[in-house]
Amino acid sequence: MGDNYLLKVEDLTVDYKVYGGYLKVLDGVNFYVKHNERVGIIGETGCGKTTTMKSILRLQANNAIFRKGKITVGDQDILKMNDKNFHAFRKKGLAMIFQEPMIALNPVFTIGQQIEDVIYHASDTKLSKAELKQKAREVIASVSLPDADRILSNYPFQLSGGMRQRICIALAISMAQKLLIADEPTTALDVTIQAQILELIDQISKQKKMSLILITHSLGLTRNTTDRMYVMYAGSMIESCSTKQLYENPLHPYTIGLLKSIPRLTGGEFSNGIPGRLPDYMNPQPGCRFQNRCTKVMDICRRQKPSEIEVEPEHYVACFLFDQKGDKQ
Amino acid sequence: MKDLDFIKIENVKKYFPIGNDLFVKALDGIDLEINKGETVGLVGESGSGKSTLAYTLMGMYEPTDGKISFKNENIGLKAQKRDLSIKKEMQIVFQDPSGSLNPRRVISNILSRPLLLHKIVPKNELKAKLIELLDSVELPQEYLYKYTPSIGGGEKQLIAIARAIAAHPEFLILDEPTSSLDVSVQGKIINTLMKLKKELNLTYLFITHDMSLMRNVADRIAIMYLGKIMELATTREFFENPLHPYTKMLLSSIPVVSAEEEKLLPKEIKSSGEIPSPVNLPEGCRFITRCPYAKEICETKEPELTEREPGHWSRCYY
Amino acid sequence: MKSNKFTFWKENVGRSWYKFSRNKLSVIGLTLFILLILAAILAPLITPYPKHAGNFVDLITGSQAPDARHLMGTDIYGRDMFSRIIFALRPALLMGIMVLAIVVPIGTILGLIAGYYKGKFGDHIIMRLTDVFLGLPPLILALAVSSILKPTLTNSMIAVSVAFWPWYSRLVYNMVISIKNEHYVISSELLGESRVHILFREILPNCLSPIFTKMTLDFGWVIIMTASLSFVGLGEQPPDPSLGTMVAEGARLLPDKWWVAIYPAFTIVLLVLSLNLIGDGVRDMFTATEE
Repeated sequence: MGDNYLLKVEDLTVDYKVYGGYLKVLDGVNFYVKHNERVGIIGETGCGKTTTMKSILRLQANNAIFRKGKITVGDQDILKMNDKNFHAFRKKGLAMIFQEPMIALNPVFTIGQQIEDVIYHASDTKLSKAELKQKAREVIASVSLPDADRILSNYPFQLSGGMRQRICIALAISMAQKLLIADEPTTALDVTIQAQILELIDQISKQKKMSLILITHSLGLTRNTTDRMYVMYAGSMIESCSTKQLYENPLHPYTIGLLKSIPRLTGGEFSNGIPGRLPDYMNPQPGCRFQNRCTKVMDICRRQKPSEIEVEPEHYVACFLFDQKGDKQ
Repeated sequence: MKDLDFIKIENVKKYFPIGNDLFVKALDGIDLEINKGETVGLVGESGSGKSTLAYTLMGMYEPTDGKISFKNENIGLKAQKRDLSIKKEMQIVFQDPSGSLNPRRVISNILSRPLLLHKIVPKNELKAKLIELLDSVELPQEYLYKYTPSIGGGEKQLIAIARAIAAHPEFLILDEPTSSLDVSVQGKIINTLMKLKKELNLTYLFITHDMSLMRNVADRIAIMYLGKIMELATTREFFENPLHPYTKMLLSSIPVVSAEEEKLLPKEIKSSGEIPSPVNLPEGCRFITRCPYAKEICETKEPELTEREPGHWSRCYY
Repeated sequence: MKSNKFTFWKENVGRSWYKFSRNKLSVIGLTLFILLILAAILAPLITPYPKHAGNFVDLITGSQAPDARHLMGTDIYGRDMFSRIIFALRPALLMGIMVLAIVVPIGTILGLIAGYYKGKFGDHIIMRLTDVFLGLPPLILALAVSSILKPTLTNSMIAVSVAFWPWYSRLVYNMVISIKNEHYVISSELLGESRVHILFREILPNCLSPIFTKMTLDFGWVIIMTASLSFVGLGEQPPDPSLGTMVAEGARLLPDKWWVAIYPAFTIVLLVLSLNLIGDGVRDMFTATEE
């Protein structure tokens, strides 16, 4: 415990107030990121990954209701900080790359103005105009874009999607020193550009010794970019292990199903995917939230929520298939 | 070869004027034949013109130049000018099922339109036919009375597929039918499509950017880049012996999930650069801005699509 | 199977009400508006002097300040202001309903046609005409039209309608231009659907929410405009009570006999305010769901 963790999320539970009641979207999320560690979070649409990240950055929607849990960065509980302290802290520590590079940049300011703005607000000392410009050039160069001066004077619409996403990364790393959160950073991009952006994120996080959280729904992306993985389903982490373990020895039925539904280059039969859909968040059934889609569902799954069990070293699964106590019952 | 002239696309061009005598050359001379009963995979990045080709085939655009024929009948026309009998034979499934189904109409209404329009069944058998349609995409009949915003993305896409096959078409264009869906439902959609193809003897033009998916569904694959076909081969040939540098770049960028797959990826070329704007095309080869092997001749003269091995075409001097 | 459709609507109504009622001001507006409508409908029953709504003169009780007998005082002819105001709600509300009933279908159909045939001849005709009407300030336009016609309630209805239809054709036009590129419209075209079907069954239902929002907001505008017309003597003629005329009469008596002008003016404000508050709620109701 203590120093080794950069970010630790414990039992995070968040509801959304909507017509007819509450959507219990996050149901006790637990995860941590160590210093200089690259973590992938895999989950499908609606599993709560974006809500989790928004909670960490305290950007929740108006109708989000925080029920319980703790988010600590270093030794500070960020949910207990006041707004001013948190802004100061977020400015220095955390940064996020959003999915859609088209709308993450303000269309009426030049790239230069936007980057200089960020540097200006993030730095402790007052920088002169020339210094700002110089720093902005360095930032552009750090994301492998040529011709910095031209790009700085351009407006976002003059750049391609891939370049814009590089700019977003540039903006993010120009201030954050500790943790970079990339939320589906390549979903809006083409495959070839995706490969380039992933490589850039990989390279920068290594170079700057930053921790990285890569959130995605595509299992192919995390394989070479992360050290450790979490699989998220319906509001909680159901499996966590090293990236290698996940691809070679997935344990949770959901993870296995996910990996099976990916078309392989090696060809072969193609599974039907995972039948059914996400549980009703408003009135979730008691027990495991995956029960209705699970092929190996047991009696206990319908009664009790499984807790995380260490099945092999550093490989945690929330499933009764691996729970010794569950077996005995 | 059987039925050589099922769909024949000859030198089709589609230019969109953008003022100042400039044109977006979305399609810049496409030649492609689709045989009855096969699945042709069409792969390309955004801006390659793959959707424009699909939309031109469907008659959403009129080609600027070139010929498109369906069973020897000219269909290089806007849909409004086509015969109802041709419209019946060709259908399309769009990428985003939420956008392709009217949110304010109940599913039974959506599905019964093609049946009534093309007089597939008499009115008194309509209900039975609707249930049969839902059954063919493995959805229960309660769905007839639902509105699309209340069902999941995968189910919406199944409804869109059911609508497309309702009038018994022969040819179906699938425009990225799974790319807006989660992986866990993708399999279901693909397997349903493949099952229907067998049952109804359909022909598919399958557009996607997901090469791994192509590997599993297509008989032949065509790679498009800036309005032209760069490589065309049978699926096996294509993955075992890719010829064009662009194909290799695409293949090397595929995110894979196992070590066995990684071995199949070409290593000698890495992704670089981006697809340029289709307004000012380079004089020579259109891939020259990103090609690591570019030679002098590539700058001056555009290579032709040539048959390098039987059935394997590539547009490159290499 | 009908029941399925019914539960869908029930659920929808519930959700719409939830979104509408999250804005407390809209609920206040709606309550106020319903009360005003009830008052208008039940006017003969709830007013103390229903006869005063007509041609009644009692100069002895003229120009009395508000007291227990006359809640809002009396006008120069001795008529009870409260009774007259309640009765004046009737033509005001009727105007709103009738004008919208005229302009919404006309504007919507023209907008649908022009939008669907964008760039064609019909579009140019309809939209240039719309532009001409939009170019003139609505109030001036309505004044001009009603000054040609005889000053009656029906004619001021026509005058206000002339000023309002282009706003609907412009609104629907812009919506159709984006909706017609939705894939569900294109799918129907590719299927071979008729244009009538595409316009009225595929496109129109998706235009309805902004039309409704605009209708609630315009209701208030129509009332203001009617009041303005009758203020300058171009609306309903005395002795029938009309809010605009009452304000006009009272304006001459300001500031001594303030109640003659202030109460009808305040009623106009109340009516328009309630409609605007409802309009805000309706807009919230139709915007996309959270999550």
